[in-house]
Amino acid sequence: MDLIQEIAANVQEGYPERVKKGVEKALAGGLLPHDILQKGLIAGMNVVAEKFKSGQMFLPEVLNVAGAMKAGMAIVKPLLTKESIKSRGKVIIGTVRGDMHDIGKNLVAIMLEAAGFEVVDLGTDVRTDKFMEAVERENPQIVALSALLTTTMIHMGGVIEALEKKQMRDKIKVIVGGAPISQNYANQIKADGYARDASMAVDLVRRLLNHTAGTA
Amino acid sequence: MTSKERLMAAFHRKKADHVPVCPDISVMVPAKLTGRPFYELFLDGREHNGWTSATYSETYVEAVKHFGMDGWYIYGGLKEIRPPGAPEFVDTIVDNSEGKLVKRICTTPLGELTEDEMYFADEPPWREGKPIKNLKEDFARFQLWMGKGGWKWEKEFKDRSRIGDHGVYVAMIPVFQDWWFHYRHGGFERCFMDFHEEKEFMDGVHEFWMEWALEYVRALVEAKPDELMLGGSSASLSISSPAVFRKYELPFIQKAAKICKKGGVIPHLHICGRSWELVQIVASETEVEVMEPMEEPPGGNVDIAEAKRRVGDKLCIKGNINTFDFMMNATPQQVEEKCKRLIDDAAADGGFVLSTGDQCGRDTPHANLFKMVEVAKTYGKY
Repeated sequence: MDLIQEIAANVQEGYPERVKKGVEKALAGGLLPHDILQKGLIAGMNVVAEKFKSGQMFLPEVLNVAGAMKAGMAIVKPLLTKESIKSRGKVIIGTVRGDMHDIGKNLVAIMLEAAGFEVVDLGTDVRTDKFMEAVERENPQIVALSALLTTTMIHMGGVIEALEKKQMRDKIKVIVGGAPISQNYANQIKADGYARDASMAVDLVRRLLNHTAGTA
Repeated sequence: MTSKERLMAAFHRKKADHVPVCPDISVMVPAKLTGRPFYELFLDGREHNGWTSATYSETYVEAVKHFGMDGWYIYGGLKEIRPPGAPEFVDTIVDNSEGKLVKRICTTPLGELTEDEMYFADEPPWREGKPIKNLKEDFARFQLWMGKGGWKWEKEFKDRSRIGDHGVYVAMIPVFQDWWFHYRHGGFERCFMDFHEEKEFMDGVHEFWMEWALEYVRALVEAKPDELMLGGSSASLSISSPAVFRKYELPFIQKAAKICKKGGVIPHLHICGRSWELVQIVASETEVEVMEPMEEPPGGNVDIAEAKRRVGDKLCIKGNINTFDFMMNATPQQVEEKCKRLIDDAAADGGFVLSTGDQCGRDTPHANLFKMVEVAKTYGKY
């Protein structure tokens, strides 16, 4: 197993210290930061994303993996040239008002970052006006809304209505997710897409941005 | 048969007069039915030993009567007899534009613990700040509040008559992940990071919790509720994993179920969301007798017909109609069809309670709840 494969394997096993040491060793050996990122860290995370999607892995284990990947990213990212870290698009993400659940939302953010998107994470319990402020400030292509409660999911529609009122709806795609959310609900509130899990959210964002001129 | 007799027959996997029907309407449907701001129901200032208020528990019983359903009263508990001078939380209620914010402070010899809980007019309360913020420092304070052993409780459930024959009186205790999520500041990710990054410390926390939890189970069983429910929402595989379940939950569930059986109380486990993998572990490795809500897709992954085939000889099944997608949007005709299918799939020979896959949303059409009850009483006749 070469060093890059070893990094990918340690990402998959969720060992941050081993990933950190592997990345440092690879850099000292003259390997390119971009190759370490793509073929080591992101490749490892992609294997895990597939296992998660097929039900072979569960959230706590995926979070450990994400922690290992982030440990490697922290070393590699500052070394990447501007060209190699060109964003594939900007996503604003948050859990809606009254809802403090973070796990699914965080995982979506991590996986989007790993896939090359710029992510602005507004955190949990985010009011509609805070989403709107962030939209105006950050000019994203995607707004991603998360909710775990049937009582809070209703605020997703409020964000979409606020975007419509500001006549920004045609420029921004809205995606939704969380345990009580379904494709039916996404259709009802006129969201552009629904993803059952973090891995599918990345596929969804890729798909939506490919249809949005100038961002893919 | 009374509602209580009907449910107890099903829990013992026997036939009742008809399939018991008990949609999980807690807590929003009964609260909305009152037409009052929700915070008035929860912050009533009356003495009550359960996790919610005396007024809310009455509201639930009124809703049970309104819909004509079989009641599943999970709002009681035993009052703890606190040692003299033990640190206590002191509440201050602050009005704000959204409702009422309850700020709680507990002063211990090692420093303060704080928690904030927001009570809304039309939504259930939500804990914005939880006591254990800095893991090790706050847990040491928390143990001073909880006590490190010698826990005592009163011997009887004082609100038992509230539900009477309208349903079963259920004592409740959270499983470890629910308990930790309740007190640990931050979301589920923080809890899982604790499990991963602070393994040894969390093993100690778990050991402490097990000692407390098993003592409480013994006290609850001695007070003879109809059922003892182990609350395991946070153990759901929509959030957690089989490995975490095996490490932190299974040993407790096994011991708690054994204590229940010995004391003649039915052990019941709640795990919502994705749960099928856990249902099979519970059926084969524990003495749990009732499991719910065996949620169907898209929220969960349980097929009730398969559950009946695979674990119906071991567990009474309570469930499993999806709430947020189906109950909120279906027509009464669609509810009728689904209820009939569930009864066909799971009710033969008893051991089935027609219910929902978790709590019904606040705006669930009442016609759909009435339809569930009607189908159970007619089509579900044994």
